[in-house]
Amino acid sequence: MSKRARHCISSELYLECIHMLRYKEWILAATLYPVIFASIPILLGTWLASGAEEASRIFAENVGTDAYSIFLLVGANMWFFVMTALWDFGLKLRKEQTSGVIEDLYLAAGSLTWPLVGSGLFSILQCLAKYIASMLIGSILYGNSRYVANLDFLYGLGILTVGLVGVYGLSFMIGAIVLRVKEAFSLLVILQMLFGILMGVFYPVSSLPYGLRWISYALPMTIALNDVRAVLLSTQYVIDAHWDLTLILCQSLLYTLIGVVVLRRSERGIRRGAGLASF
Amino acid sequence: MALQTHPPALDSAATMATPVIAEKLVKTFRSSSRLGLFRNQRTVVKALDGVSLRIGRGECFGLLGPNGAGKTTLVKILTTLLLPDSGRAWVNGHDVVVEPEEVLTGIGVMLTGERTLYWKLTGRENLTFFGRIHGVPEEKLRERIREVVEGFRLGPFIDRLVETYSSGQRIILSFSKSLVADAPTIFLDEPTISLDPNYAAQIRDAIMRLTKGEGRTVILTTQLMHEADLLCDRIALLSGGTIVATGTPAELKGMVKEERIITMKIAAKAAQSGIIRQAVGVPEALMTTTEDGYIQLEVKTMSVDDLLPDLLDRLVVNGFQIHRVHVSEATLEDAFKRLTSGGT
Repeated sequence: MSKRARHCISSELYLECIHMLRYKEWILAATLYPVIFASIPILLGTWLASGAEEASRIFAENVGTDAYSIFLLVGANMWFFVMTALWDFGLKLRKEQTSGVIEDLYLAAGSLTWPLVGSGLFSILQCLAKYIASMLIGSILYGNSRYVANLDFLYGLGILTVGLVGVYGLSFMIGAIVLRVKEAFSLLVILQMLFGILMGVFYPVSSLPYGLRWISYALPMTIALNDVRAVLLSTQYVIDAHWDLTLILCQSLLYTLIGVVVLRRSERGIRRGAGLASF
Repeated sequence: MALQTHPPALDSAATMATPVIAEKLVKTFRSSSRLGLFRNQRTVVKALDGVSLRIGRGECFGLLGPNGAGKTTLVKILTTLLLPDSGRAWVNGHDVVVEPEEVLTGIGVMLTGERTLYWKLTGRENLTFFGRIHGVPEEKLRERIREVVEGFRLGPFIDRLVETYSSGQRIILSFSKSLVADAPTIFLDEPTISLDPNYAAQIRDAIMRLTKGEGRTVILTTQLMHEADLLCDRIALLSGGTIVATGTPAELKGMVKEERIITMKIAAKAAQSGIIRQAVGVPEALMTTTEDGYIQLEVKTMSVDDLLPDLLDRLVVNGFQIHRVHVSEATLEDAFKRLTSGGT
């Protein structure tokens, strides 16, 4: 990696930190969002089972753990991180395209890739911090703090980190589409829904129809989500701990590589056309 | 001076010695015209049509032309923001298509508008951010920021959020941003547009310093004729995607045959105006009496050099004393209007 690339990444990290500090209220909202979001299925499930104990029993029968609140909380967190990754990149590029900063960013950095890598790195760090905070708050709130206060939680954090890299690789592709299509919102909303259904946010992927499961496992965060739950709640791995981690690593590398190539090609294609600032 | 000149074949020494070279650049844009709710018509606009130019070191080179002439497209190609359909260009010896990163290292760019900054950052944070991603070493960056803050008197507002700036303050910060990288070649796209006279003068002084004082090359697009006249060593007039004329401001003005007005203040009484008119022999001449008691004679002509000596002779022979003579100059605006509308 060149010195200039390192400069771009660190500067973008610095920029994002400043932006975050200028919108402090958002940090609190983003931390609480997964906790609140997870409470919807938790309350619904508890009500349908006529109480927490019965809900735990039924859940354990079907999923292999009685800690359904932690299962749903992890799912809500992961889904939120995927959304953050997609929306952050899509909206960031779109906003900078419409505001005119994107050309200056390109002129200074020589490519949009490195500033976006910096932005993605910041977002991963932010997601990890939010995960820790919301899991702490959520586990205390739902009375399951033992799942957070152990070493498995840290291992789960490691799996999450590797999985998030792949999500940002996918975001590069989304960024490339946004630059070309010039319309971020409808695309992102559709993807948000598809991810919600396919990555097993509120249910194990094994409950999906067989064909859909393969599409689901091809998404960058599905196996990571499954395995964070497996580590924390002793539920099933997709294959086993070793193979799953290898798969997550391979997916992350592959998605990142494809994402960077697609973004670079898209950037060049746009320069061949009406330019980056055209919207 | 020549109309639409093409440079000869290039060698690497030429591209290194001449900061900006463009050779037969062509760029087309495709867009859709809306013909109602559901019908579109594809249109192709040729923004540049074989533009060639060379800009020397330390030169302030103006790009003038009506809206849509291709000025900004040319700047965007030279700054690697756009790729040409055909033709080649070199900036500081680097090909804009093949070596965009090397080109960007050696240029500072100010694009039109005030929305080229992060509004949630302070002015200093903006300069630091863009300087860093441009790869300026930390110590040099601090020094450059100190210089531009002092040079453009940014001190009172540099540490405020950009969202609180006035429009003029944002533009001057954008201009400062283009200088932070300390680049030898600077592209400025209408830098003084919408600025008050004080800020505009500050930027013009800075451009003078950059070229005449520091030997940097400045490529300036502007719609302000007096600004181009004042700052530019040479100007290219663009119209319809082609360069219709290139030359110094004086050379461009000399290219138009514009109607000029000869004004003479003659020591005579109002009653003598009939004699003056007869002596002058130009029936359309306009005569008025000034407040300080002179007769003012105005004659419009296309050939000052022929008529003026003749007029002076006739008046002197008839015993009139001429107090003052003034001939209106052809302006760059005259040249702009004539040359970009296809006439001379």
